[in-house]
Amino acid sequence: MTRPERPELPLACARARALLNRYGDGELEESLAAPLRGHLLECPDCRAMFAAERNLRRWIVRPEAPAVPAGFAERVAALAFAGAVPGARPQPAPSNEPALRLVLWLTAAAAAALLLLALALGSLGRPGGEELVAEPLPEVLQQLDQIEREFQASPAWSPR
Amino acid sequence: MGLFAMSHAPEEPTAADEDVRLVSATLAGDQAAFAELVRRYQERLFGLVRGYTRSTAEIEDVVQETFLKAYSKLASYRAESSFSTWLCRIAVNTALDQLKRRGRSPLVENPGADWNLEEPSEATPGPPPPDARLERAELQQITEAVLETLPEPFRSVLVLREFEELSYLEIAELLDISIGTVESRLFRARARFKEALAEIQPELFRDLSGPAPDGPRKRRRLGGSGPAAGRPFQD
Repeated sequence: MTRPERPELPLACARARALLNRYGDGELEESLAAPLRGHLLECPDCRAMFAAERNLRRWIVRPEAPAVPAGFAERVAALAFAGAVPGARPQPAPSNEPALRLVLWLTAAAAAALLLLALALGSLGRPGGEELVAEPLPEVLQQLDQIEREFQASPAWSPR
Repeated sequence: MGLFAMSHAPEEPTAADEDVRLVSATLAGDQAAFAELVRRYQERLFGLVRGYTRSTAEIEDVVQETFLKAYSKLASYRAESSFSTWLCRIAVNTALDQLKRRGRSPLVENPGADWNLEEPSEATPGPPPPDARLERAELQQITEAVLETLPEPFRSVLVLREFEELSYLEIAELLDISIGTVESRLFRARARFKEALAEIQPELFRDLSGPAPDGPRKRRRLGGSGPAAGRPFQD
């Protein structure tokens, strides 16, 4: 049988030390706090342990918070209401989000289908490439060409 | 007559009653009511978020985002719980999200794990009290430096307990954990704080010694009518 490395604490000390944190935080009910105070008065070891616990807390000092900027509340309230749904009311619980998403998706799909349909209908009335042929010249232009050819063939005409 | 007058005197509305009234007015579309809610809690949230970051701009961003989130979720708020606890929970989560987004602390160490209470070790009796020559500003800087080394589960309980002075029950409600977990994490957080303090300030740690005042510390309670208000600690 091996001996423990250090002697067992008396039951009172073991129980007292398990309660020190809660006592130091003011969380221990009076029915336990009163006997603990009595024990601390009698036991220097537990009292030293409690003092160490208290000392640690004196090192933890709340950092200074920056001052709240002037008009912060009004600005935040304005932002909140500006970003709200029409009617300047808070957003409803997110349970409606899937239904809203479905409606938006269906709307987008319908818009895309309509666009495709419009493009298809628009292209129906236009002529194809093989249908694009030149119209014959009007008769008056043919007569003008004939007059010009006769004039160039006459002896009075000479190119400059 | 006096007794009659006393029995029929209208009761002063509590801070929690006023919160509920302002929430209802906000839900009815009253922007001024929401501005008043912000005014009531803005300083508290600036102080709370200060425990997570020292950047003034970041603190302002987080607090603003907290209020905007609160506004968007206001319809889901139930008056059975304290409005301040509800708001602080949003602020803590927003602060942690912000830090994660920016790739900084909080360090997370086994977030799902928990630790059992251990008896304080006799081998490490604890730090001496801070030297009286140290200015408060210096102590604040030391606290901040040590806090930044703490993994998240410890940091939040320490901030809420030491800076916000919340009860175990209030911290449990706010972080959605049990009172036993609060006690356990707080115990471990202080042990970590002590270790980090000894590393950061070894020379002060070595030389100083002195007594500490006896007796439990008084704490500030959250305003409101939450289940924590006025109840004794129960484990």
